[in-house]
Amino acid sequence: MNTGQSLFAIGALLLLSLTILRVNNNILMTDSVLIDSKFGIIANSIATSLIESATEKSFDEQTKEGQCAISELTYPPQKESGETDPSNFDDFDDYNNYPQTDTIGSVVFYSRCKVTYVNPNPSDPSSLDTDVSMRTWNKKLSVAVTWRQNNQTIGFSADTVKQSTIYSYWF
Amino acid sequence: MGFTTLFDIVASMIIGGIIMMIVWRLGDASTEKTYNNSGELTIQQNLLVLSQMIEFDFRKIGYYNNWNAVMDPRTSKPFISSQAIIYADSTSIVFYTDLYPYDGNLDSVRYYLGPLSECSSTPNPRDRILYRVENNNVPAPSNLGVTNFHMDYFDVNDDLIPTPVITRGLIKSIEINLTVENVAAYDEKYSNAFWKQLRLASRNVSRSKTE
Repeated sequence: MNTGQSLFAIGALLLLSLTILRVNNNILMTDSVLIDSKFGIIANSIATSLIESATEKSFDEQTKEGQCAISELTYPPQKESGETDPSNFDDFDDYNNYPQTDTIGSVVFYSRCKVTYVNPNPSDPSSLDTDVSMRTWNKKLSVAVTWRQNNQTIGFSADTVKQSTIYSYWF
Repeated sequence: MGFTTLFDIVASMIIGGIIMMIVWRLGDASTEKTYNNSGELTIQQNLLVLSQMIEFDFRKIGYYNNWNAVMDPRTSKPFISSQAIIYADSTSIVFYTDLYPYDGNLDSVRYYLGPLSECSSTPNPRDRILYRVENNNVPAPSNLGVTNFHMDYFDVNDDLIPTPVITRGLIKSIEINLTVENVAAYDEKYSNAFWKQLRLASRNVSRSKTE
């Protein structure tokens, strides 16, 4: 084999190697996206479940037995002593800063809740996204869920799913 | 032909053979991934459609678009939302709701898993048909690759109620597990997608008085 033939052979092997690397990269990227979206579905169901369980509860500690004056509502939103998890939560505020960890398969999902007061203004839809530092008859629960697999495997893109709901009280 | 030339030919044949095997393996892997990824996309779409349908229906258990009281077909007495669930088992449920066009009349909805034998023509040995039947309509089968549809029922204290549920008025929330797999897969490597609604509480059932 002369020098020219050797160079052609080396060039061909180089092209083949690059093609294989490119194909493998594409396969791994597609796998990563598919796994990400699969876990996204579970994260969404966890967020929905938390919202469902929170909206089952009373609007406020003071409205469990009936109506109260707005000045009597809990402020800032917080849980009362002895309340540790949704099984003993009795009102919507108790979910403020509540952390939850769910392990489904080998994947750990971390959730965190935040409860704030909002003051909806029909002429300003952005008011639903603005927390207010006063008592109102409307509370907003925001849930963020993220996940990790095996201490963040390289190439695995974890994201955060966020959902929120507004719980209002009228009498 | 000298020894060197012969050695060159043999060596190039060996190297060529290795390269051909690499290319063949690459093609095989690409085909497998294309097949499986398409299947994965399909099952995620199927799962999403099913979960949306289930969430929509289950959230409206006991709902009816009528301000005035309607009669419960079972008792001929005014309908009570807490009694909306007619039958509740781990893989099937029947309940009253008001379906489109929301005419204020009670409609019954039944969800249940068909037997494994119904999908014996598909390569996947676990897939089954999830039926949704409105009123007395004929069940319409559609195989979306459901391999698991399981429900657990909880009372007001979040305690698990044994199935089949005898006192259905006790049900305040439902945990739903749904798994969907490919009906066919490359080299029988079935991928699956999983949806778990940890607590789905119907507004009308969870907030109505238990009778």
